[in-house]
Amino acid sequence: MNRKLETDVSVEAASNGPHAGTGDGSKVAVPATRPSWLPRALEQLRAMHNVPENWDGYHGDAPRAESIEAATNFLFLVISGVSLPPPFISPTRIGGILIEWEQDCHELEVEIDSPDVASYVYLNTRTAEEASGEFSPVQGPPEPFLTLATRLQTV
Amino acid sequence: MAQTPAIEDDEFVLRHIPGGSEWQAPGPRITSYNFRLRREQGETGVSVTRLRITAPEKLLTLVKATPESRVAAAQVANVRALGLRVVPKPVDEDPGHAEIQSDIADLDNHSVRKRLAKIFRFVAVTLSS
Repeated sequence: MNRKLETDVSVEAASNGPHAGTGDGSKVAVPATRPSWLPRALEQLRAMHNVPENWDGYHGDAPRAESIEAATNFLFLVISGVSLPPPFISPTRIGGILIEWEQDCHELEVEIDSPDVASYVYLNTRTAEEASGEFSPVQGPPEPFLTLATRLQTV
Repeated sequence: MAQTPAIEDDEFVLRHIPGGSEWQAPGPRITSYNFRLRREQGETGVSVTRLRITAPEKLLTLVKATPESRVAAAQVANVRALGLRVVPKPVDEDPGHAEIQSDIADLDNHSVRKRLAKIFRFVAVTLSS
């Protein structure tokens, strides 16, 4: 199922738009209420385009444009349903994007390798409960991921 | 050439944790992405450096660190307890170079990398100019 958000506001490319940096002029669904950390996260994702090869000192691949775009779209789909704290965002070593949230004892992270391949891991640092799964970002966040994400809700 | 000594359980291994003010702040952070293998490029393990042989300051020069760079350390026994192997892989520029490799546990598994990240801790080190 494609989880494109029909009720959300779509925006054209803009300097602070959600798809700035994707470079294809496409539209991205934006939730009506944006978290305060979103502009900074989008800046970071845009800046990923300038991250060079060997950015980690261990020959890590530069982030791929398609991964950055998939991560941006995924971020919007997640925050449209769940209010989350500011994420930590980083390139991965194989040209993908990592998005990680932490709230109290809950840690939830997603590695987006490509528009079709991603995985998530949840860890409760107090109880050692763990959960993980793989999914296709173009299909949107899977239900188990969203269920876990509610544990980190900020409101 | 002298034989490389085996890696003892009580040793510590170091890993550079990169940071970038524009694309990663607030950071850097020790998380699973630091331990992802580039399989298509033939990587067999996660590169680390043995503290007993190579100082953190030296590691920072080897990886061409930036001002945002940090160094993290983990005790070898804790890495092995996860089901991973730690083996020496000395190279010319770093005789303390070693690799964390899959064994009982698989580094291609996201959960394994997450658990590995949790046992590393930042160490105090300054990038010398």
